[in-house]
Amino acid sequence: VSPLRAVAGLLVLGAAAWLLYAIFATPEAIAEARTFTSSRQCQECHAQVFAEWEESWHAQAWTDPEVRALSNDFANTDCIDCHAPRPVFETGIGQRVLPRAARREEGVDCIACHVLPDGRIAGTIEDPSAACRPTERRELVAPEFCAPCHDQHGTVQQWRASRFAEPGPGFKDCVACHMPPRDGDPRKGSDHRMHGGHDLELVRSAVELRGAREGGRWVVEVENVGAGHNFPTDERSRAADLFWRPIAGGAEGAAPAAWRHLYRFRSPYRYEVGIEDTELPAGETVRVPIDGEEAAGAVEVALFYKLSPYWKDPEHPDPEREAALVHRLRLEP
Amino acid sequence: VRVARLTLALAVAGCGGEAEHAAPATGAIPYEVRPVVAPAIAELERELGREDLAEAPASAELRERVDGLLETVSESRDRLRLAALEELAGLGDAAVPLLAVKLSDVAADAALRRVAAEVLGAIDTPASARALLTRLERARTDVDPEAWMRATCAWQLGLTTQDWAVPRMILCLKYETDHETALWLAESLARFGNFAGLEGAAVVETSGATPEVRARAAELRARLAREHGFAGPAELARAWAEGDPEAKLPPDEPSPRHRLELWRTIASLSEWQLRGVDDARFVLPRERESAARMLGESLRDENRYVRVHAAQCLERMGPRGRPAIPALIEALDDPASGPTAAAALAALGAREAIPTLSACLAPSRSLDLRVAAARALSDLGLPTDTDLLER
Repeated sequence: VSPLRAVAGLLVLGAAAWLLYAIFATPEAIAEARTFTSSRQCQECHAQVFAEWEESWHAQAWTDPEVRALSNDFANTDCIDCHAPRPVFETGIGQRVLPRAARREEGVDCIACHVLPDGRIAGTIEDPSAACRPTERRELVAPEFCAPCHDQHGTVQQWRASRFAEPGPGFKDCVACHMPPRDGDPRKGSDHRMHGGHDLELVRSAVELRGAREGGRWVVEVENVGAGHNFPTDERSRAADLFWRPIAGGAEGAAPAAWRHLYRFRSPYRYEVGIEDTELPAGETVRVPIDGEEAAGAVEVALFYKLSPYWKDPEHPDPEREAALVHRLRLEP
Repeated sequence: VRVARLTLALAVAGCGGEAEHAAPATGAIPYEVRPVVAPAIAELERELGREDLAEAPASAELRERVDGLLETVSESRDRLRLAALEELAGLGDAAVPLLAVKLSDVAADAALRRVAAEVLGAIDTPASARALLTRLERARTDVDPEAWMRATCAWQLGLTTQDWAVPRMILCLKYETDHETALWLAESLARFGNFAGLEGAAVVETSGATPEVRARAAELRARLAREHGFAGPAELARAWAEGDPEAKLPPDEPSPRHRLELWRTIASLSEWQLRGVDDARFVLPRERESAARMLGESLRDENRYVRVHAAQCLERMGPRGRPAIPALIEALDDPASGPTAAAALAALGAREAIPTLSACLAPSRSLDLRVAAARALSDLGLPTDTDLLER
């Protein structure tokens, strides 16, 4: 065989092999596009995220007994807009959301935040081969994304007025605190449990409680050191209360004195008049003196947090039974 | 049977595979949407002219005259009182600012302040009614221990011809905590042919603060029923809810100013803050059939929030909203308001919508619409042939 013929034969074989590859090989497996009618569908590929979301209060926005009681089992249909919203991307970032008719029991679900009007999924990567066709949409992490519901109570406005909204090293947006990276590693994605007012550790990190003797009396200070919005934020539902009591100098094991109410942090709901808005803005401090003879000696001061502002007996509130302890302080002369 | 029907309907609506995704509401609307609310407001404002002319400061002479006449009315009886009252009312809008101040002047004599409210009622102009409304609405924003003054203002408003005050009086029903004032609101609203206050009156009758106020609520409900030819309060309430099928209630003829107020309330459905939207969603369903027609027109507005919330208002209005049925049937094709329109049709008892609602079960329609249509069909009572839903 002549060398020329051998080369020509190899060329023909090579071309045939290329042709066969071009015809039969698929460069990359492309999953069939899915369309989404329930957040449960997301679980198939995103089990961890789904499990986190399922644990979140967003997932319970429709089923939480407290919400159902406050909304009279959603007979107050005004609540549905935010507790079972249509996708944020449908109405637009920063626009108010609208209520949906189907699968309300899923609350504020995957679809509400991630489905785009064209059926694709808003995410952090572009992947045209994945079944949900994710496309990168940075708006997902913008505070304006949370605003349609959470700014109805002014929370995003409060953040904008805070130092956390200032560009620079101290900048922190909603997701920085409420959807931090898993295990602190940004490569592992964001925690979808979306911690907030139900997470006592997060609440504790928001405020500091201090006290000092000034002019012959105790003065208690509460500073909003960690929340990028008011403490507490939201109207009506959330409240924080300062209590104090004298530390008995009596016998060992004697019952402690009853708590005395000192100050309340709360924004009144729209029906409530004559109640001052006492939420503590980000970075601000409130100073409250303790007056009276009983406060002349050692006292104990405590800050309690309540998801529902009402006391069973408003005249004699029992914070240890009805509220969560945030910080406790002993002040001794 | 009802639960089984609903379960079947929801199951059928939930089927259909994944032929469509969950966010179809941005699709095209097969009919024209256009500005509806804003032009209606502009037209009525043109027709009515400018409302808020700057008030000229009252002269010392006028102030003295008003004070003197108020005292005369307060201290006199019979013809002298009537003459002084007529003279005060004859001062018209010029006296309104001075009288409005009296309504809030806690240092002034209570009898004089009551007369000031009475004169504002007698003046019977938009400005005088606005002064009464402003005082009545105080409880929405402040602690107002003077419930008697709010009750007086509510009563006086009912004696005027200013029917445009009705939407604002309805909103007062939402926030008013004084039972006596709520009853006066109910009575005054009834004078304008609006019976939205009956619901609150029924609550006061059973759980009013005192035996006296409970008795007054019972008397009011019975009297209103009697005055309008009904056997009792329940029959009156039913006629009100159902849109007056026997035409026993006063005619539903809102003045241009009332229509302007209604359009403005509809416009507030597009606000960003839900607080104003919620107020509008409280007021509009408690209005009469003419408001239902306006809400029906609003289903064609270019603003999707107006369309969706207008449908919600009609749903809450119930059978009184029947004039809007054709518009609601058409709105089933609107991806934004369609599901809410389906719910509204059910609430209105619109059996004529069954064929269109049945077509909404098709797998090509959005999941939201299919579920809403299935629920609506169940609420309306399915046709005997369940093939429809199975399909």
